[in-house]
Amino acid sequence: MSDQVESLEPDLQRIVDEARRPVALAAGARERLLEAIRAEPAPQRRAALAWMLEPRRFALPPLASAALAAGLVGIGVISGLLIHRDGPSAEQRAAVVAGAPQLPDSLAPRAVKFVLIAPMAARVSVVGDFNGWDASATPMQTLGTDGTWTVFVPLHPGLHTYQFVIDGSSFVTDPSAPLAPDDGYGSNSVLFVKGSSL
Amino acid sequence: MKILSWRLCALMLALLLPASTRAQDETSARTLDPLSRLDPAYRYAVEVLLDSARLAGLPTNPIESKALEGIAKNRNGRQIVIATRDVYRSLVRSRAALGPSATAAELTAGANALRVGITSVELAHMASTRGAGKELTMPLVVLSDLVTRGVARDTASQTIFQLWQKGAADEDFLGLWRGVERDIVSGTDPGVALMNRAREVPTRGPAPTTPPGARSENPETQNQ
Repeated sequence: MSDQVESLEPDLQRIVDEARRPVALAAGARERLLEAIRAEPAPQRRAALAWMLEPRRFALPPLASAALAAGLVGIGVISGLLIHRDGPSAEQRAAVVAGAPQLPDSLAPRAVKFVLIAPMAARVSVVGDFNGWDASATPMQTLGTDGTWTVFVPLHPGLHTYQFVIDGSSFVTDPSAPLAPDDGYGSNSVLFVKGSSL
Repeated sequence: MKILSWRLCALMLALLLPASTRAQDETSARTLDPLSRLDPAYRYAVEVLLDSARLAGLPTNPIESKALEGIAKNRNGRQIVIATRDVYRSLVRSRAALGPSATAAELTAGANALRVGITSVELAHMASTRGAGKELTMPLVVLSDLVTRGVARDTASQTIFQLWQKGAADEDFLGLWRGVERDIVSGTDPGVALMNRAREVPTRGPAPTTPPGARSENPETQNQ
């Protein structure tokens, strides 16, 4: 390397010599520089990010891979069932009802009380055109021991057909309401909810 | 070996994940789209009826409700389609009899009345004598109930029509129904119970006219 430098052109040789000349530093400059470096915070975040982004290889036996995959799928299925088990949440149902006051008064829903006396029933619900005939949608409550089951349901003005479902399987009509004709499914009870202007 | 293991894992996820999401979709679809529980062919038939009703300006709720009621009561698809078709046809006839100004509740009540044997002519006559602001729904509901409980069709039809002509209010019809229902439970003949209770309803309007097609004999004897 030095032989090659010796053989360079004079102009180039001067540049090389200048570059090799020791730089004269002010007294204490080295200490100040080191002090400034020490004061600089260590780049921990970058190191952590680099560690996380660094590619790695994992080795799993096929059986463990399959078990892991099945576990992830199971978590997804169970979560989905738990979320959708009870249909719309109480908040969602409340939101629907809360939106109703924006309707004209004649179309706004009215709270209707359904009552059935069924002392032997373990559970009673009301089904009809207002809840898609879903026996789990509108369960009735009983207070005390006289077997009186009640529930309040917001209903829009109009003609509604409904029945009570006792213990999830027996459909019965309301003894205190008019009947609709039997159309092959059995008679239903009829309820006429009048709007304020009707 | 390692690469093979990861590929196997990815393959299983690809196969199983759609199955799990499909299960969730079916659960939520049942809530948001109750008709999804119907077999596609029967569902299509019900949706055609719903579309037809919508286009004709008829209420769709009675048709959809009948389909959902059938599903809830475990009826098969064929029975559900037959029942919904009957509701649709009754609504069409009800609209023709009651006129375009009839409310959805009146059309539904009229459809029920037609299904218990009340004629279109009788319905049309009741509608033609309707005063301003008067609803036919409650009289028709009571009329259908009375026939369903065993009152002769002609007796029920003429009595309700006469009360309607006299200007009876919804509360009068409801009171009449309660009284008749109580009497029937007590063992009174349905026709007799109706005639007795009808006399108690106060007169509020003009004298009754005979509806078209009404028989000339005494209605009290028709239920014997």
